[in-house]
Amino acid sequence: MKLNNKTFIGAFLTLSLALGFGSCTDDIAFGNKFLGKSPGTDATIDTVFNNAEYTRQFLVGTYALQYYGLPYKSDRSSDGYWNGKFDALTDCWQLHFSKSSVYLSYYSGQLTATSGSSSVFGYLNENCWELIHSAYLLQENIGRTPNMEETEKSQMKAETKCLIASTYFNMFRMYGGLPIVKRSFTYDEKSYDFPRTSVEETVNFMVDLLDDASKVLPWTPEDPTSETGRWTKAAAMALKCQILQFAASPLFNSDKPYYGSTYSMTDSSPVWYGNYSKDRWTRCKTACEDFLQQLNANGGYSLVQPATNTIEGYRYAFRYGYVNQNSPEVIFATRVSSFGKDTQYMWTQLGGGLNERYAYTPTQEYVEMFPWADGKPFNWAETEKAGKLDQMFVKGDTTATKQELQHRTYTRDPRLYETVMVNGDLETSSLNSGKVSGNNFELWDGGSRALNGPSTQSGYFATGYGNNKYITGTNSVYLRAQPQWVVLSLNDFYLTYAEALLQADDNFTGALQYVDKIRARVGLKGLVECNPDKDLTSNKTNLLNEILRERVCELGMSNSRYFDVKRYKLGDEVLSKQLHGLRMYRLRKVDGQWIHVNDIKDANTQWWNGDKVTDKGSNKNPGFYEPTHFDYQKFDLIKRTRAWWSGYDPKWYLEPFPETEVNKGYGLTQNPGW
Amino acid sequence: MNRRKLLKGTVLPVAVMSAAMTFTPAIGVQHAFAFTQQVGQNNVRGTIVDERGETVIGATVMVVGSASNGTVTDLDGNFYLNVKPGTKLKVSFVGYDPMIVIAKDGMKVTLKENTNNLQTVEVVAYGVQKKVTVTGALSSIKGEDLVRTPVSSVNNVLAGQLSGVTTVQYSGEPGSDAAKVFVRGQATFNNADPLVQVDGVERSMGDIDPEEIESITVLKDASATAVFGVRGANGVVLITTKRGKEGKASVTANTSFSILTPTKMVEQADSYGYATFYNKMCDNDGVAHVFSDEIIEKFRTGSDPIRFPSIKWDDYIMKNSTVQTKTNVSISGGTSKMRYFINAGMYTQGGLFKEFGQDYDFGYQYNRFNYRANLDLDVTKTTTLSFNIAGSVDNSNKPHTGQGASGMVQALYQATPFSSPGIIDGRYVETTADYSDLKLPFVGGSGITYYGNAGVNGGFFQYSNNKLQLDAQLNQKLDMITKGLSFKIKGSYNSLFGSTKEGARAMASYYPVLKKDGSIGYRISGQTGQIAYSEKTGRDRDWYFETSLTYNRSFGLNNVGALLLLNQSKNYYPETFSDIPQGYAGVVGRLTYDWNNRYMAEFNIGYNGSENFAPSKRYGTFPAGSLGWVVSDESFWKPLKKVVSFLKLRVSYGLVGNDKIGGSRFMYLDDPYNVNNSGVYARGGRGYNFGIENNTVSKGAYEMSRNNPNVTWEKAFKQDYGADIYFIKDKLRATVDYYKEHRTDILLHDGTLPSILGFTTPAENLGVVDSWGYELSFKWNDKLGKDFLYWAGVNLSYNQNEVKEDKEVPYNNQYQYAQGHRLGARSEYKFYRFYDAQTPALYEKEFGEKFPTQLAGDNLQPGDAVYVDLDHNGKIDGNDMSRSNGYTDDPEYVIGVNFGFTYKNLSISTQWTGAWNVSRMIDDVFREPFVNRTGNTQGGLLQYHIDNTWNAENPGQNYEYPRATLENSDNNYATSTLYEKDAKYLRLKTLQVAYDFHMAFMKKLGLNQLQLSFSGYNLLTITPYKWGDPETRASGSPSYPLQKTYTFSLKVGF
Repeated sequence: MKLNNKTFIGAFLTLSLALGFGSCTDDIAFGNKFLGKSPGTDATIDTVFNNAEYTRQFLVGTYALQYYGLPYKSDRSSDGYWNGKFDALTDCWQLHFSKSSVYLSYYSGQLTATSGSSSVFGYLNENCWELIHSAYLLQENIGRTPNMEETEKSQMKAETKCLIASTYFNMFRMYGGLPIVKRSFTYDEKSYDFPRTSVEETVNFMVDLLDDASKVLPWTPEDPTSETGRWTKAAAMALKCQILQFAASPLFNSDKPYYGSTYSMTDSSPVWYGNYSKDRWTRCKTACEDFLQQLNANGGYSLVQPATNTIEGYRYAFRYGYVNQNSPEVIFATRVSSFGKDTQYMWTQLGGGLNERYAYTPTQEYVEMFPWADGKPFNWAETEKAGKLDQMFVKGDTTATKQELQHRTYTRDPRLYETVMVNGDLETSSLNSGKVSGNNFELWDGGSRALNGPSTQSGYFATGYGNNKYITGTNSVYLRAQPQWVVLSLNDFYLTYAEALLQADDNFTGALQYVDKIRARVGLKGLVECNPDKDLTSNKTNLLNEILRERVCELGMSNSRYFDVKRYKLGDEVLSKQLHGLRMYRLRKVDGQWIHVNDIKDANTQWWNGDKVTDKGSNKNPGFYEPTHFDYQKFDLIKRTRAWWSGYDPKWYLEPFPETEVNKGYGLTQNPGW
Repeated sequence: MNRRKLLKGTVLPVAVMSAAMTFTPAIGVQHAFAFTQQVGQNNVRGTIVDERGETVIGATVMVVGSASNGTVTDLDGNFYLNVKPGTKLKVSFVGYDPMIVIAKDGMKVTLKENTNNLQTVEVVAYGVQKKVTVTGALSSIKGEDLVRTPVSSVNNVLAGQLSGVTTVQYSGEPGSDAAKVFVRGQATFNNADPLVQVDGVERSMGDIDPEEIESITVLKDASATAVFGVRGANGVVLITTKRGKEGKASVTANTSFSILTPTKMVEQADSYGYATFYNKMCDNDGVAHVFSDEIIEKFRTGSDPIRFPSIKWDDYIMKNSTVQTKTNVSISGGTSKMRYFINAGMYTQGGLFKEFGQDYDFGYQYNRFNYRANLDLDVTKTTTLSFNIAGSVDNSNKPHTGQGASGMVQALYQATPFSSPGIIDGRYVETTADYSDLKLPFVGGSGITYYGNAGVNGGFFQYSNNKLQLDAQLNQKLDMITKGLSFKIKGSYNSLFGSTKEGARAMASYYPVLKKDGSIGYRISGQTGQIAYSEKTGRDRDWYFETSLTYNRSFGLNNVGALLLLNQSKNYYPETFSDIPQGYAGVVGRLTYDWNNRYMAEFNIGYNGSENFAPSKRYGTFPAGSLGWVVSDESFWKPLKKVVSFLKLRVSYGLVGNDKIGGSRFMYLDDPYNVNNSGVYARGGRGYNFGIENNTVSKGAYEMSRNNPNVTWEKAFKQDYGADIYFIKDKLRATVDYYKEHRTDILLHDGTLPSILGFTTPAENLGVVDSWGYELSFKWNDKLGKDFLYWAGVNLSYNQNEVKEDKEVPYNNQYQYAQGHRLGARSEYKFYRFYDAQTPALYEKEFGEKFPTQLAGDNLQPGDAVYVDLDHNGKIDGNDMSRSNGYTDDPEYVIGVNFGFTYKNLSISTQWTGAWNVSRMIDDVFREPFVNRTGNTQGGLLQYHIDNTWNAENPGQNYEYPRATLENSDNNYATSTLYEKDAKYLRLKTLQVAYDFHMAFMKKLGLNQLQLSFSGYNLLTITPYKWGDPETRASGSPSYPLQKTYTFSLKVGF
């Protein structure tokens, strides 16, 4: 092979250049130029705040970090079901999801300051500090945003103040006094000294922010159809009432510290005012009155009233009040998804699907708090004595040839059925009315819905009841509708005001008036009339207890109960008590005797999945009719027992800070007992 | 050369190949010329053999005094030369002492191996070096040692072959089974993968056909890797492909057929075992039985197998074996001006999972076609032009699990045995909880749900990739400028085109109903839909350019070498910021000096830039120096020479960098913000939905992260002290290395800052890790008598490291920190024993303090796990989790042992690999009974749980698992040393029995080789580990099982 060298080398060089560079002539560069091309698509802080639209977006991005109380994610924060909702730490619900922190760390009493992300409201896992950082970034930079009116800027700043205050409040009621952050930070600050402040300082910090914001914000959203969900003057003022109510409550406002006789901390001001002062209640009451004054002047919020004085009317009014986005009762709510989509795997879907992760079962104690339909208190012993336990949820007529119960009447407070799935109610609720339909809830042992849940204490109906709040029936029609988390609402406000009137002024009449407003909406008679034995016009303790009971009936699964029992330090009185479920056994008449179907050979325990199908058309058969007669046994919840049932350790009133965060030495002190 | 017989006619001796590659003129085949056979008295024919009688191919036979009269030996070691008998001939060959012999027809010349291996060369960074003068730490392996067992990925046969290399093969999934490779362990908590180059260009190791590989060299110390600068800190793997050599075309074809069986699956419980174990757990917790007596009776008798089935899913869904085939044809040869190596290979591997007659393919299946043509042209006497064209086309089928292979295997283990009777008459049947007569308490998951042919996950994935790699290189000797100077220019281009076809469909299932007449009918649930078909494509493109000047010259006994090299590369589709190509640029320098191959000094320097860093921080200089001394060449050594025939001492020190910092790019830029984000929070976005029943999402903007303009690369300060010692006439060869590395400036996020700053702190160069270890390797080669050759080799690698600075959140106790421990050390409780009445007293006696409150609190029951209160506060909590116990996922010790022999035409070789001081943390269903994705009440159960769980009837300490309980599950199934299982192993990685036929008919057919062999891979594993193969994971992402391979191969050479 004889080739001309020069030709060959020339040809090769051409070829190698073609290979190397041919397709990328723009890359012939050396040194920095070769390496230095950097992303052109990225925005920076200047991009955002040099543009009015992006600045608005930045506020939106801050809203997105707000607390949302319905777990729906597979993660370890309050929006994840692996930790669990703290309502299940009260006397009213038990969580049966055995992988949750509530079950594993709290019920067992094993939570410690080293448990990290197991906390039901982790100091570091709830986007709190991220939201605060983001809010300050906006406050610090919005000044330079062009093409934006000063009024809009100040309104946006006011909104960030509310965002900061509400986020602080979420932490405050779990942890007490907090380090106060007043600006955004960099990672190379000169000093990291952010000491924990006193209860008083933290409260005043939040209230000041809200007072500032109230001066600027509109009372209601300017355009509700597109703006609902933004912080308003009404929301800022209502939140202030809630903050002052919490601060004035005995947890912090008392002659005695909540933990032991003294605190081991050198400075206990972050967890106790150090004394009791009625003025704190007066301050709360005044804030409520300021709100009422504005409400009277501007309107915009009201209780949803029943269209008809029927069970359907009451149920729908109550449900509409918290579920619907355009409910006049809701003062402020947060969202994590968009309307009409994104709800597929959220609380409503998974809970409505009776998923084990959502097995927040109402306890027997809770169900007994709901009065009869007329408002008279429910009393098990009396009811049992009167032989009326079969009528404690529904009653009706068994009619020849009709399999289902006829003239089904609801015997209890309508809110019970909206809050708890109870035996004998129907499973499907209507979107536009209080009507229910479908199968009856079979929550007896071995029933079509409960199956062996009550006997094995597992699953969605482990206590014989199922949670219906924010679920509104199986196969929920609300599935794709309103996944909002109500933060502030008028019914809550009325009850807060009632409490403040009683606490600040011993104003029984005023308090009763506002509680009865709430009761009247669901057809219950006044408290005094229903409880003649309780001296509710003079016995403060009794009235306070009634208010607290009314709160949990009205505000189920909204975190209210959790904070109520804590701010009133009801550890010994309420939380340390063994809780119960209700096991119902289906009875069948054999030779004139009522006996458990379990004891009858080859008998079905299920009805609509069992007898109702197999005995169809033969109304002579005993299984043809909907079961109405049961044997009732209250049983101790043992799955799982709670550590504090054998004595409440007051350390549980506040959450532990993560130990590693305390160890960082920037001034965070651990809460007592942890 | 001892095993050449196996490879006769196919693989040329490595030294020749390397020499050919470097185009050095002094040795090898370049000077040979075309041979014309002449008949007459003047003809001399002869054979050249080595000391073991093996023929030497390619040896040079030259007439003494003549520059052109000579030849090279052919493939049978024969030569013909047109000279008079009696003429003096010089016979030479790389690695052997040259000999002067007297020509005589029929002569047989035995070459002696050159004890100093003066001419043997090693592949090093950007070139080759004489082995004797190498002063860096490197180890290498020849291609022939890689191909004994047909595996798809080279990674999987490296373990135990090369000292200083650790591999962990987690998965046996066809096409995705490449082992994780570390060079000298891990020395950083960022990416610790070594840089892999194929023929000098960064390419992946996994998809190269092992048959194409000439050698693999692993560069370990700073001296060897400094030239790679910012990319070299994790070690470098250099793969050199085969090249042609002058001579007539040699054609080799081999084909193999293998049977693959899964190495080990963990046995699952049957329904009866499951239900009784479950009820026992209920007894333990004091709650009602979940499984009724009637159900248990059904399970026991198996009388109702449709409604109350008992399926062991691993048996049901997995085949006992699958098939792998491999076929390979290569041609190599050349003339004096042109040499070629051409290879084509075909590899197929079947999956282990059944397809149940589905009308589409979804089982794991992997096929690959590889091709390569390497071409060298001597354009002039001083110019060599080389081209490589290589590529592969592969495709793999996978089921539409939606969860990957590990999700599928997880579902298999988390399934209950009674969830389904499987596929009956082509219908997938699921049981239900509500039969009218009897109730199952729950159904649980089935083993098929995540597997391509049932439920919502019906369908398949088909992946295909088409890779093309081109190299062109020109070598020009510049002796006309100054002697010993040469110039090289090289360009490479790699491209990939990949496509993914996805077929998804929901499928109907059926549930059994008991009919009035007692027979079983089926009701349909769901619908079998049309296959929803979609397709995605991916591509990749990058190029590499290099140009260099090399200088090599001897001045008397002084040998001097120098290299100056410039390179740049660009990757057009990097993983992040795919719109912006990723670039590297660098300058490399090397100076080498030796005096009489006895005193060596070397200096390497890399000057690199990486786009990951700010312009002012972009370029770095990485220097390394090394010294070597061949002590055995000194006169005072003479008396020792009989025992220690060769001794070289080496030492090196240098700095290398690592810019693989967690996949992020451009971390030096301003803090990035995101605008126009329209996702809601539930979907990971920062938009928000305002208004009443409003369908629009308000777009959000936010700060994405905080950046740090000062980020720069990791720095590795490496020291290596080594010795190469040969004993007893080089029969025993030993290499010893001790090394230390100090890695600083490792990027991390400072965890000591207050979290209330409200953002994740940016990456900063704050981490420090030290690592150290040693490597030993011994090789013994000898023969007994004439026909029996045997060899044995051992290599042992030990690697240890310690995190020196990690900026972790402040813990209460030293043992909680990663700092002060090996990378990957686990945070776990220290298990003491199973609780019984004596435990508190025993505890007090042993630890001298009060028995601590356990995680279970007051509810601690006999048989529950008891942990040690490391912080002595009387209570077991997070502060008692220590990283000081146990080992990690990657072994501290790796050993490789190979031995074998050839006797006449029979050859047997074995390769053993072992590892110890390694552990696996068992988790998920392997740890806790009845775990599935959502909870711990309705999942799967292992037979091993039934057999090895503490029970009240026969309490004791000799159980693997504590008392079964739901109530105390947080206590009993906490991460502790109880679940950290020793995963040491010794494995017969490869066994090959080969027989070479030498029969008369072969000559007629032109066959010069016919070899039949049987080989096995992973045949035997000795390990205390019981949860599958010790290299795989028994956790929430369990592995596709590894396989044993039994292979029959036929190899022919023409």
